[in-house]
This record gives sequence, C-alpha cells and structure tokens, in this order.
Amino acid sequence: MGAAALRALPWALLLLGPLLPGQVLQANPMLTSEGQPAPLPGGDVPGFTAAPPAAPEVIHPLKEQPANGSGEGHAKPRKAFPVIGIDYTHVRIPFEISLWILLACLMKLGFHVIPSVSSIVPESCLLIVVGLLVGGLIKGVGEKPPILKSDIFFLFLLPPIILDAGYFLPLRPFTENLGTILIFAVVGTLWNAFFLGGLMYAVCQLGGPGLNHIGLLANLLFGSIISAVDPVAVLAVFEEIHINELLHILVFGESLLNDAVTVVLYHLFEEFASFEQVTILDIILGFLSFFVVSLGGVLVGVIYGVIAAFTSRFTSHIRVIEPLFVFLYSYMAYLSAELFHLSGIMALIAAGVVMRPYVEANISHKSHTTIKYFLKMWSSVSETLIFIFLGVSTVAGHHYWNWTFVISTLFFCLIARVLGVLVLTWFINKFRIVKLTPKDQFIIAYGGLRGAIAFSLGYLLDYHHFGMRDMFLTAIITVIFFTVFVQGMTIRPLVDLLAVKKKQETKRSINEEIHTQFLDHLLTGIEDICGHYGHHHWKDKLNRFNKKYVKKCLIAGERSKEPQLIAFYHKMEMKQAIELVESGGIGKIPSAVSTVSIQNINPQTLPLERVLPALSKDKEEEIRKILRNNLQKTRQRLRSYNRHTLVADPYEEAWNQMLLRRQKARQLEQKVLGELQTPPALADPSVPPDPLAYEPKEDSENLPIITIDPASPQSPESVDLMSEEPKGCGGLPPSPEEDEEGLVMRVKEPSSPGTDDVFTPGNSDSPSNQRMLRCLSDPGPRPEPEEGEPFIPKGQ
Amino acid sequence: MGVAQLCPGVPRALPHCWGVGQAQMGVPRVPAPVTSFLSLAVTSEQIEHLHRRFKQLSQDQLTIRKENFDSIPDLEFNPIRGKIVHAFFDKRNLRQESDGLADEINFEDFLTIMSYFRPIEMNMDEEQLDRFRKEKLKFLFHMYDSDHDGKITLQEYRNVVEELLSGNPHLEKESARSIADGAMMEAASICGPDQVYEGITFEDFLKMWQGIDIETKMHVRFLNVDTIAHCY
Repeated sequence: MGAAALRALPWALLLLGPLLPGQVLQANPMLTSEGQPAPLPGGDVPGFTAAPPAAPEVIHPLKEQPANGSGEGHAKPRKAFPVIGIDYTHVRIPFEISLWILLACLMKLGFHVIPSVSSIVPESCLLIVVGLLVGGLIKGVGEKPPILKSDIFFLFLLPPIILDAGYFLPLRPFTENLGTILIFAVVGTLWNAFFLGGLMYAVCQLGGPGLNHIGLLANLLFGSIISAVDPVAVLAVFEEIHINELLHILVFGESLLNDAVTVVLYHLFEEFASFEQVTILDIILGFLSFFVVSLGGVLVGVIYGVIAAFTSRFTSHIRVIEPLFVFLYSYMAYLSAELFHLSGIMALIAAGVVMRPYVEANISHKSHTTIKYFLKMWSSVSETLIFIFLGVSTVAGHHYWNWTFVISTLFFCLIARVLGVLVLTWFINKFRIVKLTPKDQFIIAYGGLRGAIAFSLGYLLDYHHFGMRDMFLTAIITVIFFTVFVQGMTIRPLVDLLAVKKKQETKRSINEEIHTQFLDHLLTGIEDICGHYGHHHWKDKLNRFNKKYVKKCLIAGERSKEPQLIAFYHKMEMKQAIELVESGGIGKIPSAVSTVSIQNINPQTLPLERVLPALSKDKEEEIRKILRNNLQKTRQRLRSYNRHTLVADPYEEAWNQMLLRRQKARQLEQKVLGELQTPPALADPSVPPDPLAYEPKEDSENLPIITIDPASPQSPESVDLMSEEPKGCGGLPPSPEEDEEGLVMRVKEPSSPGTDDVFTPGNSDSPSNQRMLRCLSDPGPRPEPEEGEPFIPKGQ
Repeated sequence: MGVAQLCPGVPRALPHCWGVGQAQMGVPRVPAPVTSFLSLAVTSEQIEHLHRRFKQLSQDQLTIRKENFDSIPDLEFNPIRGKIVHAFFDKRNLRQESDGLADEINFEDFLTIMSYFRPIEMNMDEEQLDRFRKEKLKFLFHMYDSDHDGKITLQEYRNVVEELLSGNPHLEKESARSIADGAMMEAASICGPDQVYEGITFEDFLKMWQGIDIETKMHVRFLNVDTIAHCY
C-alpha cells in the first residue's frame, strides 16, 4: 500500500512546481499557516498519513494562484473550477490492491517467460523471494510494508484456492483412499501437534531464561499451528512435479482434511490458555467439538451444495449468471461454516464435491468453461499473492530470533512428520490392498509442506495472552521457508532419483471410460456373488439411489436420466470438436460447427435422429475390404475417434449431406458446404484427398433404413435384428458432388457432432422424440442465435 | 462337509479333499491341478467362507448351474449380469484345455474364478506383476470376446456397451452403438487400423488398458486376508 502512496507524493510536488514559479517558498508557509503540513518528500512522512493531506494541497494552489496575485489578504478567495485535481485517498485502497495483484500477475508471467528458472525452482519459492525483495524495497524507502492480514487471508485469499481444489477434486481416487487420507489428516496431525508441543515444552523448560516462561498450553498451541500440512503449498509444489495420482491425493487430501483438526486444536488451546485450570470436562468437550467442527462443516457444505444444484436446475433461461451461483453458494458455505467456527475448508470442499455433478449437468457448456477459468484464475492469483505476501510479511513483521527455539522447532517438525508417516503407514498397510511402499512413505513425509495457513494462524494470536507471539511467528516462518525452499526444491530431483511413478499423461478416452465402468460393474457383481458387502457394493447402492431420486430432483429435464457414459461421451465429443477447431481447422470449420451446435440445441428446427446404419454381414465384409485397401493411411492420420460406424461412413456421409441440405435453410447450407469443400487444414497433403474410392450411386440402392424397435431393448441378439433391410430409396440418390463433400467432411467429422444424424425418411416422428432427449440435454432449450457459436473460441 | 473343516489351513490339499467328497457322492471327477496362482490367492479362511457361500448358492449341491445365480438379489440390477455369470462357466477362465461353456461348475472352479480377483502383493517382482496383470486382463478379454474367436469384433464391443447402458430403458440403442463405434475408432488409433476391422486382439487389448492400473484396481476386498472375519 505504501508504494503507491509514495508514487503520488512526488507527483504532487511536480504539479506544484510549475504553478508556483517564484512563490514556492511563499506558498508553503501560507499553506502551513492554514494548518496543513507541507508536502515534503515521502521519506519523512509515513505513507499512511501523508496521502490524505497531499491531495488538498495540490488542488488548492491551482485555484489560489490568481487569488494570490490580485487580492492579497482576502478573507474568502474565489474558487475557480478545478480543471484537474488529485484525490488519491478516494481510490487508494482499490488502487493499491490492483497494484499488488498486477505485481503478482506480472511476476507469474515473468517466471513462465523464462522457462529455465521455473524448471529448477518451484514458483512458490520464486514468489516468496519476490515478496522479500519488494518488502525490502518498501522498507528501504522508509515505508511500512503491509503484513498478510489474517482476515484477508482467510476471507478472501484462501477460499478460491480451496474451492478450486474441492470443485475439481478427483473424486474417485479420493474416495478410494479416504480411509488412509483421514488417518493421516486426523491421527497424523494430532500426533504432530502433541509430539511437537510436548517436546517444545521440554525444550522451553531446559532452554534457559528466554524460554522458561512459555507454558505447556502455549507450546501445544504452537504445535497445533505448525503441524498442519498446508494445501496451498502442497498444491503449488505437487502440481509441478506431476507425481502419480495416489501420492498426490494422499498428501493433498491430508492437507485439505486436516483443517478440521487444526481449527479445533487452535481454538481449544487458545481458550484453555485463558482458563484458570483445565478440567477433564473441557478436554472431553474439546474432543466432541472435533466432530462438531468437521461433520458440521461437511454438513454446511452439503446443504449449500444441494441448494446450488437445485438452483442451477432453473437457470436455463439466464445462462449468464450460472457461474455466479456456483461461486456464491460455495462462498456462502465457507462463510457460514466460519460463522460457527466450523471448518470452512471442509464446508467448501463438501459444497464443491456435492454440487459439481448436478451443476455440470444443468449448466451450459460455456458456463462450465467460465467456472473452470474463473476458479483457475482466482486460485492462481490468490496463490501468487499469498506467497508474495508471505515474503513481504517476513520483512515487515517483528522478529524475535531464538536459536534454541527455532532450531528445535524445525528439527522436531521433521522428526514428527517422519515418525508419524512411518508408524501410520505401518498401521494403514495392514488394511490397504495396495500397500504404500517405502518410496511412497518417503514422498508423503517429504511432501509435508507448511504454508501460509500456519502463518496466518500464528498472526491471529493475541499479544496479551501470548507475549511470545513474535518468536512463534519467527519459528513458523522459518519452518515454512525451510519446507517450501529446501523440500520444495529438492522434491523434484528426489522423485526422479527414486523413480517414483509419475502421473501418466493420458487423456481420458472413451475406451477407458467404458472399461472402467465395466470393471466397476464386474467387481460389484463379484462382491454380490461372494456375498460380501464391500466398497463396490455400497458404491453401487449409492449410485442407484443417486440415479433414482437425487438426480431427478436436482437435474432439469432429460439429462437426469442420462447415464454417465453418455454424458461422458457428449463431453468428449464437445471437447474434440473444440480442440479440432482450435488446433488447425480454424477458419474453415467454425461455421460447420456452429450450425451443428445450433441443431444440437434447437430441437424445433432440426429434429434429427442419430441413427447409424447397420450393415448386413456380407455388406460389412465388402466394405471392410474396401476400407482396408484404401483407408489405412487416413485412419492412421485420424488421431481422434470418430463416432461413426467404422464401415458405414461413406453411406452415411452422403446421406447426411443430402438430408442436411434438405433440412436447413438454403443459405446456411451453402455456406457450410462451400467451406467444407476446401480440405481441412489437418489433412496431410501427401495423402490422396479422396481415400474412399467407392461408388456411391451403386451403393445408394442399399442404403439402410433403420427402424427402432423399442420392444426389444437390451438383448444382445436384437442388435443383429437391427441390421437394415435393403430398401430402394431411388428418390434421393446422392449426387457425386454431394458425396465428395461427404468424404471431405468425414475427416473432420468429430468437429460436427450433429451432421451424422441420418434422417430416416418415413420414420421421422418417433426418432425425433428420441432425438429430442439429446437436444434437450444440451445447452439451452431456447437459445438465441448467437448461443450456438461462442463456445468456439474465435481467433485464439 | 466343509472343505475347510476337512482340511483346515491346507489349501493345497483342497482338490484331494474335494475329490473325496465327490467320490462319496458318487460323482467322479478328476480335479484339475491347482496352480500356484490359486494357492497363493486364497487362504483357508477364505476358502471356508467361499465354501459356505458356494453351498448357499448351490443349495447344498456339489455344483452350481446358471440358474443358481438368479437367487442373488443384488445381482439382478447389474447391467452386465449376463456377462458375469457367463464368465463363471467359460472354460477358458477355468484353465481347462477345452473351449466352450461348462454347464455346471464345482467349488474348485468357483475358486479359480474368484482367484482372478485377488489383490496385488507387496513382494511381486516385475515379471510376476506382468503375469498377474495379464491374467486379469485375459479374464476381462474373455468377457468381451463372447464368440471365443480371440478377437473383440465391433459387434461384440457394441454388445458390451449396450449392456453397460441397459440400466436405462429409455435410451436409444443408437447412442450405445455410436459410443461403441467411437470407442472402436479410438482403438484404431491405438492399435493401428488393420486390426480393428478384424477385431481387437488380446495384444491390442493390453495396449488399450495401458492407462488403467488394472493390477491395483481389479480386486475384491474380500479376497484380502484380514477382512474375512467381518464378512460372514
């Protein structure tokens, strides 16, 4: 805050200079006689008080200049209209906040521009260094650098990070390892706090005159502050080292869930410190309050999450405010939890986890993107600010350096962590099926980074009760710096050195989704057959309950009935389309995609049914041969999947184009086709542009007509019955030109999720209804024309 | 006549005991050799439990037939129920030379199937791990490959997806179909196009599963040693 004030002062002087050429000396006494301090260089006046008086001074000379010349000693000089003026106080706070954020962003930008730095040193370290430098600079000019205020930290900086973590929590690994995470978070943190607190008490007793006055409770309080692993620090470091999913979720989950323990211990010891004596009852109540704080926090979160999901059910008419609901309800959950001294972090995570699946099904794709980007943006800015302020606060705060205390804190912190992890994993491994190896244990112990939460909690301590606060803060900062710098910087080489399994950088594929679901059902089935009600059994029960009741209440329209696989498939489809447009087809495909998305959204105009023609056995064989002869190269080039039938493509495309042509407004259609005729940018020029060497006219005789048979839903045999009866549709033979388009189109097919919808003549009514299901499930029920386009990022 | 009572703690002796039991019942049967795989997998305690369950399912008969699985109420909702039950009678999974489907399975076969779901062990080396993984995937592959030709054809894949989605009565079949086709296209990008038109072979199947740590996922907690006491 001081920096900006500093900048304002010289400016004021500059303004004064030319206005009062000969009278600078005169003007100053005059002004001081009016009871205002002279605008002296900022060094003499602390930024706090200097800024307010500086502003009026600047304004006054402007208008008093003529008055001074003509009417000396006038009681009330006439005021001219101020053409320009400065009112820094008016904007000071937002201005300074913006400056800080700007600084944070520029720093982040800087680190990523210089890749060599960020590959060695984690960003968090660099940011702390920047903070130290900035703090030193401010102090160097004689200003008082700001300190990371606990209120600001807990109310504004922390929530975005936690919400981001909670909303995008990888739920599957999290729930699968929930037991382990809870043991680490609860038992581990308790152990750390008491071990450290007890040992520090011993140190204080032995440590000589400077430390003797620190009691057991104060030490335990200190232990509970310093023992919690910090989610912000862990996220910052672990996101960069790309460790495998299991380790990541173990350490990160622990850092999230230990909040409840920290909150309880903190309040407990803080209260106890002011008590005359602590009774057994107090301890029991404290123990109870742990459950209240954690479960209460979760409950608050769940309530807000459900409300948010329910609200999002009705937002289909005002898409713009959808993201706001997510943020507001989550923030309310956090604040409500904090209101009752419950665990805000738990509330936020619970809210995020609960609302996400339902909200995502309800809101439009664009809103989802907005939420994602906003959360990422906020959390990364918050994180940056937190680290910078940690640095600045280090310079700004009062320090009381006691070698014994600081060194033993650091030492016992590490010892406690290592011992805790070793003992707890030994215990946990008895129950885990996938055991934690010694390597894993090492990373878990080593990943126990401390961060700004500990600092802020320490800063919250009351001076009156805890006279040794400065020493505590110094020790806390030392531990934070040690863990963030030493451990944070060495963890990446160590991970490489130990050859710890890294995260596999695979995109989630549709095959994987199918296999995973298949496996889930299989395991549930096997558990049922064994008569053992285990993990999978209950998960299955929960899923069924969710599908049967909860989804119906919280998700609007047909989407509530959509199974996960379909939902996933739609998502993939959308992503693929966007990726394709972004990656190369830009400028050529967009119009096609936009028309497609319009059809997707707008059931009235294009009630198309997605019917993929199935082929009879010998037909399939024949086409297979053709494909094998002609298509291999093209297929290899096709990196993305294509939702078309492998063999039916040619027909379908021809059909497709033809039918689309009939369905759509002539003008629009022409535009699309015109653009499609140019081969897509993705296509390899060395490959012949028309790989499908077949004769559409001959084949069109056999074009399949599909009738959906609702009476035979699931039996595997019924699939074969689906194969079409060849039927002449001579009325609609695709012209060569059309089929050429179809072929070109085929390559970029993923970009146009709607164009493969073959409109079956004579069967238009019932399919259109079914088609409607899908239409409704997509963004808005009644979109504006522009609704369809914008999710394609233009000109990026 | 619980196996475990007859020979407590000696899983290796199981076929022998079982043979005795069968001889008494007058149903001669040559027991297949119990592989080291199986003996590793299941402890006597677990065998005891599984045997209880087996008797419960078979209504105190020596073998289980397909119909017996109908008596499991929870299984009813399982979308891939047919495939699961089928897998129990698939001779490829039973480590028998012949191919095709068994009409009934005895307790030993039941155990063999169950042993596919045993968890990973700490002291496995790379080679064991690889075999372990392949065993499990082979089981899954057989579930996908319903016509026993060693390939998952498009039609078979479609069936799988359809069954997966069969819990939703109001869903068009075409969605399932297009998902399967999409998945097949994706498989083509993994394994090369040629295979896909023929069907996915086991080697391709292995590649497709690369992203999933099957060895840490495909297990039933029950087959872990310590939990047995709670799950009667």
